[in-house]
Amino acid sequence: MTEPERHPALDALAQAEVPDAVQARIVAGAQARVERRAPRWPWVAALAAAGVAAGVWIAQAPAPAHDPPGHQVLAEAGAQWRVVERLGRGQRVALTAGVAEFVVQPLTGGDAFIVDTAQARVRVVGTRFRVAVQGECTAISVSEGVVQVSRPDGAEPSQLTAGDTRRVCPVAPPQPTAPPSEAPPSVAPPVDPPGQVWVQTALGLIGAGQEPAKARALMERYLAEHPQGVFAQEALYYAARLALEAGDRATALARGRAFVQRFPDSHRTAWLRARLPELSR
Amino acid sequence: MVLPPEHFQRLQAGDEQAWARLFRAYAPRIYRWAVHRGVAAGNAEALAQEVLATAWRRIDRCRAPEALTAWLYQITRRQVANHRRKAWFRRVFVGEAPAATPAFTAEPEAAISARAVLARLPADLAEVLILRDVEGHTRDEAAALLGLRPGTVASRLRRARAAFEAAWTAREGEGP
Repeated sequence: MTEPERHPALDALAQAEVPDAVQARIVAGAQARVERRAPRWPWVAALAAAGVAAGVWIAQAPAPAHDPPGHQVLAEAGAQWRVVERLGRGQRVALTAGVAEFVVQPLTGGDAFIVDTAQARVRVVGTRFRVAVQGECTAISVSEGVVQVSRPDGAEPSQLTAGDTRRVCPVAPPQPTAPPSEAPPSVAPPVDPPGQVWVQTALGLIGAGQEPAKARALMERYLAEHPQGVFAQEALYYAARLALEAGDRATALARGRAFVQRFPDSHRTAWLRARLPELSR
Repeated sequence: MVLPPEHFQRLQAGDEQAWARLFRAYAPRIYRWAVHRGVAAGNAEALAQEVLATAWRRIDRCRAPEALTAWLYQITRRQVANHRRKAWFRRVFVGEAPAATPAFTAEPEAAISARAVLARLPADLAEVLILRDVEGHTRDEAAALLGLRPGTVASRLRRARAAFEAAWTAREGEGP
């Protein structure tokens, strides 16, 4: 009697990937449940006591059940900061002293989340980064997502991704720090609102499992018009995946090769190599 | 995934950053566990949130860093079982039928069908099949997650694969 083998129908389940937006909602929702239960963490207790705050939850207007919650500013003791203005669903924050970590929910359209210090301006859409005012300099480090860092007047812009740090000082030129395996950040591409909408629309369709052909077309359009854009990594990856799932292996390989070449250390590279063995040759 | 002892101690101390890292590390895995066990996508998100929040409240009940993943899996199992009982009640007494919707990025129809077939299997067989043939755990890893002996996992896997094959064939016979 032969042993039953693994059924090939389970391959589709094994390859299934949890959308980034779902992961973000789960994490944010778990944190919200924890905060509702008990002020166990110092910054929650400080808020309840309306006293010295180690962190503040920036409340946004009431939103539908599936919208992400507000942004977070996790400021260390001694940090001095204030919200300067609201920018749609984002805001502009001025950090004048100390260290703060920012957790920014995904934004759309012309919204932005900006942190200004005396030496630098940090502009992000949906990410997690740390800004430290250290004497006359500002140090920025990114743990998730992509941020654009420049001088307050917009000069010397650079794009930082997860794992990157940059120190901006008034006298010495900034020394961007990048992981050895990645190319040093060059002059950052300009912010491109139209392309951003295409990528976000496509990600929404992908997350909902709807209109894969339209999602693919949006990603390809972004790559055609903004090949060096801030969302090139997402666009290349999903263009490769959607082409593969549509049976267009030639395009999947082309997009996959471009992705692996530009982002060799991405966790998505392993996924692409597993499904496109030609990439490893 | 085994946490370093110092990280586990930080969890027990309620360190916010340590918990944030744990939430990010386990969120997709818990979501997958729930979805593969038949929980609809939207409910699986809420279920995963509750599992993580429960872990935060009861971390003192986790014996050791190496037991963390299995402990989280057991919490997820209980949450899934509660959810399925409530779903059964809604289906039988209220007539509410869950929709078969994609739960993952660009999920093909085959994946949705495979999940529907998995949902028909007995829970003990479905769990082993998911851990071994979908999530890719070894026999010993699956045994640790389920709290079973490796030999029991092996025998259940044989039965589970046969049951899945039979259910899949029967599904094809049902037509579109």
